[in-house]
Amino acid sequence: MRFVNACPLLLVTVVSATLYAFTGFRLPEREPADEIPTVREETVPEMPEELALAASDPLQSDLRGADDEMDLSAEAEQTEERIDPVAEQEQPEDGQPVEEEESGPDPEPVPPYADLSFAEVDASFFDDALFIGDSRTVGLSEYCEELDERATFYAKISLTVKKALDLEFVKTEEGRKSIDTLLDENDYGKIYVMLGLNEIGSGTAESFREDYRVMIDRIREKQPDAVIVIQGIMHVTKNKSNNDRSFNNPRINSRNEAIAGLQDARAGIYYIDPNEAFDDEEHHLTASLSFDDVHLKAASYGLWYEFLRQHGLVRNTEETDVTGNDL
Amino acid sequence: MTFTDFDFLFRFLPVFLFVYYLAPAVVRIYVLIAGSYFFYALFDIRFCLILLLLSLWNYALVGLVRRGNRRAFAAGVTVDVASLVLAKAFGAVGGPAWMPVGMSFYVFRMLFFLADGYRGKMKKEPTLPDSLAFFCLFPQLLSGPIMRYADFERSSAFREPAEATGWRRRLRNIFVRLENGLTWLIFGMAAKVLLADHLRSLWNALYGIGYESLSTPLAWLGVYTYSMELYYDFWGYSLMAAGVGVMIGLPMIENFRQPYAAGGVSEFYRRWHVTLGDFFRENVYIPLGGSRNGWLKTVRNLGIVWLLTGLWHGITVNFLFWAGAVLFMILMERELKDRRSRLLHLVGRLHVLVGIPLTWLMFAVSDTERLSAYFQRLFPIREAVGTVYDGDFLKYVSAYGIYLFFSLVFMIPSVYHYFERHRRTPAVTAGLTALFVLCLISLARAGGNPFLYLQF
Repeated sequence: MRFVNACPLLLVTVVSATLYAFTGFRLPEREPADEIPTVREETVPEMPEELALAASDPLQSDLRGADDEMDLSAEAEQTEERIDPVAEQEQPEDGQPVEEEESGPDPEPVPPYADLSFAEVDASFFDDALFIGDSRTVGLSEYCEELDERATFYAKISLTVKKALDLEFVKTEEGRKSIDTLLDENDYGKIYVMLGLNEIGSGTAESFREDYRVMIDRIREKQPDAVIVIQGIMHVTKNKSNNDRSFNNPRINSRNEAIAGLQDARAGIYYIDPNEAFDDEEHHLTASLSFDDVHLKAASYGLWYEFLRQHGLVRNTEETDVTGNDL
Repeated sequence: MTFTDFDFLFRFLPVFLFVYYLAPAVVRIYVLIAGSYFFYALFDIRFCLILLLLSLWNYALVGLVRRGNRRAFAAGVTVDVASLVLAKAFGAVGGPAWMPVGMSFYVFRMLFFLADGYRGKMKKEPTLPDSLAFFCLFPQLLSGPIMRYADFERSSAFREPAEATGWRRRLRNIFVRLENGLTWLIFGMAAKVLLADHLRSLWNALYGIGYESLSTPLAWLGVYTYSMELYYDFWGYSLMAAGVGVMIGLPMIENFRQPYAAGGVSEFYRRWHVTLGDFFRENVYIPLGGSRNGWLKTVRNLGIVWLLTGLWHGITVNFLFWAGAVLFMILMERELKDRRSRLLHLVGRLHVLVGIPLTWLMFAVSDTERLSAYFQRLFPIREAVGTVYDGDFLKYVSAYGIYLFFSLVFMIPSVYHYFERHRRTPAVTAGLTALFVLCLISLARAGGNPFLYLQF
């Protein structure tokens, strides 16, 4: 007791040192793998990862067995099943009889978001657009005024695919809400997503794709008419890529390949890769566009907006004007 | 391995202290040497060799130097300075791997060592273990403080007449020392981990945006953020080093004395990085004649001191700007000093609270073009070239408000003085314990991840 009185700090540090010796201070956090890209290499244990996923979600396990290319075909079958419930939900609102869709090859039943093609659009295209993303999308909202004035942004630093929809971070007049709730309350014509950098250190490309698919399905369920645009994860600079075990471009590319496989024009899910606007010849983020090797510097965000404008989604018919909005 | 690594705090330091205090007093100095070289070898074993060679060289000369041998003194200084300059030059060309960690600090300790010997400020001739230990002291190896040999001489740790007082007494002494050192260590750690590290992430965010795209309020916030970051980082580090020093029985070395409370730039630099200031004053400024030989020579002497200080920090042009700006303010204060004390008061404060932070900006931004872009945002005479987000100031103030607030609070001299005077009371101890836990949580969350505060 006298020791405690005389040397309380010594006691505290000794206790801490002992704790450190036994636990290494790996504190049980909310989701350590997501927030902290740990140094542990996650690349090796692909098998257990898949097994774990298969166990947690047996219905999806067939999809994961195949390679990416194989997946595309599996995906095609899968999406048809997926569209049906959506179509059924729509019909009562549209007041259109079910039979019509099944009866003939009319172009009418094609949902408004399906089979669009890329074309240059003007700014008003983004009036009904929603952007979901991490700090990079935050930057887009801050440093691209023209886009920010028109589109809605639900973006947050360190946002991940897993948490994107449920985290209550969007400030509204009625307090903070999750994207999930806001998708119930509002309608969007186009939903752009760029996520994945914050979880690049955890999981595998396959598990990432699966998380991504779950998120897209949930968005689709809430926004049956929206065009969903998956944006490839933006690269980091060569300097960063060559010096970081997690945040490097080979990893980003493998993740992008995985989520590119989710595109499905008939289901209104498109994939665009903005990296073509930012990359140097070696397919890294061009060093002069960034100061911190990860984010675009403020003055570079215009390039992103320009890329988005060049890659608007419009229907290839006469009644489409350049805004793509009158469909 | 830096002071805020868990491996240092919870492995190296306790094991070292245990062995150190278990050993008889006469052996401790060898434990200290071994421990320090082990600590240094963790960075690069080649660095140890350079340190050892230079230590032996300075030790070999110190006997002659003490007896007033000019040549020995000149030879010692030349080799020390030349090796530092060479290392800096190699570092500039071949990258940081060529510049041994902490070299500019231990070389300055060696120079001071010779100079003190030459001026007869050493009581006894240093022995080989004394010299080796003094140069390699692990708490001061990386970034100072630049302790003087006289302080090392009067430290009691390895020559205490402990045998006479009995083991109970000795044990008590050790515990008092450890407890005492821990108060400084924890306070310094909190300044570094809880304030400086967070302020740095704000500063890094501005860097990522690009200086040309900062709104003017954010640009000013950045200036003060960096100034406080630098202060808490270095002050915190110095307190940690001093705390570990106290734990092994060295005297408390004060390297910062509430510089921002200073009434002028000259005073600021007597309170900021005190040991470096002492070094330049005693070994450059005063030998050159100080301020006693008229205006012109005073200006020349100050100019030399600040040129050297600038070069010591780095051999890029921004450090010369920095040194030049500081020199300019010091000269201005000297001009006012004799004539207008009222005006001096105002100008002095303005220098410290506005001028000094602006000089830190020159210190921080080594690229001249970017520095100029930053200044154009601070004083927006022209329209911004890049895109500016008007909400940026509020965004960062609300995100970092708590760190900025406490950074300001701990700038108030009386806050620190209260801590200093009452640091062994239960209330302050409880506060320190809480700070310690907060630091650990903050560091554990970092978990070796350099991006803790820089999430995407």
